[in-house]
Amino acid sequence: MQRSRIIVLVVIFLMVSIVIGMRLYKLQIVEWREYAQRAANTHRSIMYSPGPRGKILDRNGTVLAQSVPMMRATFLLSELEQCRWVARRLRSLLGKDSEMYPWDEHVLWLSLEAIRETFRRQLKSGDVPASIVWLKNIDPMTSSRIAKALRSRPENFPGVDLGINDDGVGVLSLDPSLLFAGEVGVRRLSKWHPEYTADQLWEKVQTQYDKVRDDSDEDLTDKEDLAKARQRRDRIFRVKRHLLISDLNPDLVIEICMNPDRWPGIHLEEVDMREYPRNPMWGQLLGRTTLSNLKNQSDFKKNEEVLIDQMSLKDIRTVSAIQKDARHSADQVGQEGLESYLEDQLRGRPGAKIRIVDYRRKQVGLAGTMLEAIPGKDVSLTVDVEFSEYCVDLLRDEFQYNPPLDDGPASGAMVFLDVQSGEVIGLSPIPLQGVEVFADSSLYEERKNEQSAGWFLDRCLGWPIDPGSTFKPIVALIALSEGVLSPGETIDCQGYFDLKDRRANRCENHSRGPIGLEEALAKSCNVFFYKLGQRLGLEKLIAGAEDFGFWQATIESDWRNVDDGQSDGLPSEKYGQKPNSNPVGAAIGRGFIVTPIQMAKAAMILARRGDFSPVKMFQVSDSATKTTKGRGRPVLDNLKPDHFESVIQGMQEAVEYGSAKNSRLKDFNAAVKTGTVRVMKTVQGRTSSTEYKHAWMIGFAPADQPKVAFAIVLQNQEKSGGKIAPLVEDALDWLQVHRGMKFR
Amino acid sequence: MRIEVRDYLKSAFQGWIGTSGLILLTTLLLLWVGVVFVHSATVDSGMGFPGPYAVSQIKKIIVGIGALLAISTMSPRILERVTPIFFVGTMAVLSGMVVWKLIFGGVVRWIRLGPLQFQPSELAKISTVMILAMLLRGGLEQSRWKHVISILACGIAPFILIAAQPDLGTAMVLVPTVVAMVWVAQLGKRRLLLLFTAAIFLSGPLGYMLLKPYQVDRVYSFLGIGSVAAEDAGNHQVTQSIIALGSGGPAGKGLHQGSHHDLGYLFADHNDFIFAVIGEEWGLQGTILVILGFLLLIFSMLGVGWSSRDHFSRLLSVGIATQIFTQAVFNMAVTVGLLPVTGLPLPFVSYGGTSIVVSLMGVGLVIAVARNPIDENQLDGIRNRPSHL
Repeated sequence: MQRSRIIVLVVIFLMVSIVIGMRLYKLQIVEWREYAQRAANTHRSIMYSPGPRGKILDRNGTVLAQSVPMMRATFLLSELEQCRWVARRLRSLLGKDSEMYPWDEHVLWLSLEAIRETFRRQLKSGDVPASIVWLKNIDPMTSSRIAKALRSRPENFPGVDLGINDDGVGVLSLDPSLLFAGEVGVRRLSKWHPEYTADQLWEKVQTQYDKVRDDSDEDLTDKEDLAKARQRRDRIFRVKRHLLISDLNPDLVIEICMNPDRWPGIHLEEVDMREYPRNPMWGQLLGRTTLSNLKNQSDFKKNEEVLIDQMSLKDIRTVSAIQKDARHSADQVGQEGLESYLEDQLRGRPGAKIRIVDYRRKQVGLAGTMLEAIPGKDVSLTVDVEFSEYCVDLLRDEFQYNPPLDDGPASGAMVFLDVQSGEVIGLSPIPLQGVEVFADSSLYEERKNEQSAGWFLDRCLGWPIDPGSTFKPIVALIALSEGVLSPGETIDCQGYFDLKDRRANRCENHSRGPIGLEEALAKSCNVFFYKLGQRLGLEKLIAGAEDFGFWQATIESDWRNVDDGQSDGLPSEKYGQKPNSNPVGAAIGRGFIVTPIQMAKAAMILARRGDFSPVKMFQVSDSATKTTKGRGRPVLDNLKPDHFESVIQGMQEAVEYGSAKNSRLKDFNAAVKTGTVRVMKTVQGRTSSTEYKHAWMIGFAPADQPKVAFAIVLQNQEKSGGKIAPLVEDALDWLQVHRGMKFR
Repeated sequence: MRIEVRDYLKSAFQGWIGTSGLILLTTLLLLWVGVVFVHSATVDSGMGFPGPYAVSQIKKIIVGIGALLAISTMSPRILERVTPIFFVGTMAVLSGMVVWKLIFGGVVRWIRLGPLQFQPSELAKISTVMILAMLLRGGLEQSRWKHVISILACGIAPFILIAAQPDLGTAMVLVPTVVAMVWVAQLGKRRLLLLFTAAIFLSGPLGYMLLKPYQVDRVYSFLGIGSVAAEDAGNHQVTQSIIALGSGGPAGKGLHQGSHHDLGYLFADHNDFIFAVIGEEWGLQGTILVILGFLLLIFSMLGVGWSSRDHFSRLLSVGIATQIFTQAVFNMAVTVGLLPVTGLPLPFVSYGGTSIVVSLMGVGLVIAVARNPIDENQLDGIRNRPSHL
């Protein structure tokens, strides 16, 4: 009984095997041609997509920089170029009779290239033949072999046809439109993109093809080097997608999507372009992005980051494992400004999906997105773009009525800080320069050569100049802190610092006689501060000024602590230059240079009565990483409240009866200090002053409970510091009306 | 001393002529095909034989052949004695893995012991066959219900433990194996019906509980009712497998010429889909050769069961043959698109460690039966029921 059941098992096993066998018969006998065709013409590849770069936003969410998707065309050489393989396959069919067929694979391929040349000329003339004779007098045996191969594997010989006469002698002919279909497609692209000629487009393919054909490294003796060289060529041929056109015409995108079989080897890829909706606003600050250059790629290697689309990965899981350290060659990489500074935050991580196309170039299967790209993080600035643009307009209007006296562009800056938080709320430099300069080579060259104009520098952060008398409140506080000036002390001003030399170090700002600190600030007495400079000496003056944040990075962020001793601050930021001699001149703001943002910061510290606060430009998402520094600064620590009140009173008096008396600033209860710097020029080794002036004003409002601190400067014009008060008034008005700030 | 050595050598070579030799030769043939195609699937044509994967496969085959030879010297009586220990040991390891998974989560299929790692579920397949052969050796026509229940328990316990790993493919191989062994063991019709009814009622909810979402997706994708993701995960692999296999045609593209799998369209080409590689490179002649090889092996094993006068030996042969056949058929059916993806390797051919060694151990068990026939004086039929049952 048991044995009979074993027989039943045998029968069942046999039947199951027969089912499998029948299925195999169907696949491998009945339908094998179809599958062979599909296998030969199916192309599988991993398509990588760059991770969208994060946005840069202002404090109200207005977009300053964003990525916008764009279609580009790339090509895969192995799908585009068939004739090399046709030559190789035919050579193997011609047999080993070197007398009858003395051509090796290379010669056959060269003959195909010659046909291609002819075909190109015919393409241009529009007279394309349906067939071109390639090889004649092929002996009957070889003809039969070739015929069999063409019958069994026609997909291996696109456009190749064999004619056999009565004697069995064969003639191989070619349909160039099929054999060179890839080239035809590439050349046809120029119809949609007239900015390229067909030859220019094909040249891009030819360049890569030449690299594959360059077998000079075959002489390498080291096996490993040889293998690497071959692998490199193979990658260029089979793996790497080469760029054809970076911004495709939408009509062409539709055409390629609808008729993929007409565009063999040409791929559509979605990539991101960087867009600056407010361009040129903050052009120098925001900087720009480009595709990764050689330096970037070298940096990627150092950081152990990989260009994922240049790797030969078969498995999506491998892509997933390295995604966080991966970049895409179509990634926009920050090159300058905040785009460069915030690269780690903004950059996304590439995604990947499997793409399989059939012999008609249509996608097969439902691959879908296998690994989503990870977008970069958005970064919000503290700056108000609307307010800043308004201030830019104020500066432009001002220069329209009072053009700069030199040949350069109108140049100025307005910086506003929130006294409570230390945030930069207004940042208005002119001239503005956006990314348009990088798209126009002649404009770029023109501006690059105008070194003195400094188009590429941000006037708020990266353009240090003499601060003039606006530095006096700082000197006063340093003097009080160091004890070289007593509260209520007066200094006699006779119009000259040195009575023996009346040509230098003069003071013409007020009537002569003893003068106290408050009045000296209000009327901007030079002699008073010359004396303080003399008493302090250069070393104390510099050390004190450094406690107010001069000559160092100003903007602090989550990502770089400006006080860590290692930070370089923002890329567009400059730190100025310390005075190296003459503390007397330095005490009235001459002989050294600082930036408007540094002056605004000093005004903010003054407004906070010495409570030091970092200046922030980035809205902090993780406040735990931030540390607001306490004082720990000797000069600030030594100062007493009445010291600040004396200085602030002097600045308020400047509004009431001093250097800014003809303004409406008293309506805002503002405390300001003006400064007028005569621009010096050096001719034949002699330095002399010019009629050009830099007009400065720093201050804060309202004086008792300050909300904003500011620094404004107009360069190379005829006005003095006191005359630029209307700009501050208009800006404060705007903040009252549009942002609800109360100054009165 | 000389006589002892001669006796030992004599006993070592005894019994290899005939079915045992045929089984061994067929197994070696399948192993060789496996090494050749593992090499072809894993390296470029320019690289000489054997490539790194082929070398690794050969090492595992050597270990497996060693196990086969060692087991083949054992008498069925010895095998019968060690069966309970072996079964309890493998069940304990599998239970430990399930507990580990419940505590720490994740997928637990492998155990690493120093440089070695193995898959206990593969061992459990053999131990299940051995314990069932032992339990069923007394026949079932006169069996009591508690006997039936113990058989059911020994069949279901490893199924649940393996499926919980989760390794449903391996667990599924146990079902036809148990059915075939129970069938050959002459279970009474009424009890057979009850056993199957109970199995069906149990397997429904169990299968629902044990099936992971990706396994459900594979079934849905096979049935063509799946989501895009399911289609992508399962059907795509089978589609590529069919293209590779079909494109081989009757004569194949030639060794190392299988461009479809070589260009990476087919995942796991050296493992679960090696049959497709054989089909692409050797064509129908290669796939039929492999099927014939398996049939020759299986029928030889069933022949050993047929000629065995001992029920344990007979059921052991039937169980091992069915298990190998089932696994091979499942693998081939997936490759040709008759079943959803199960993740089962092709025995002796696919690249793998534990699978190769355990399959060879199974062959060793059958050869042990063939080389150590039961005394002819003992009557064919049902032996006395063991005292502990």
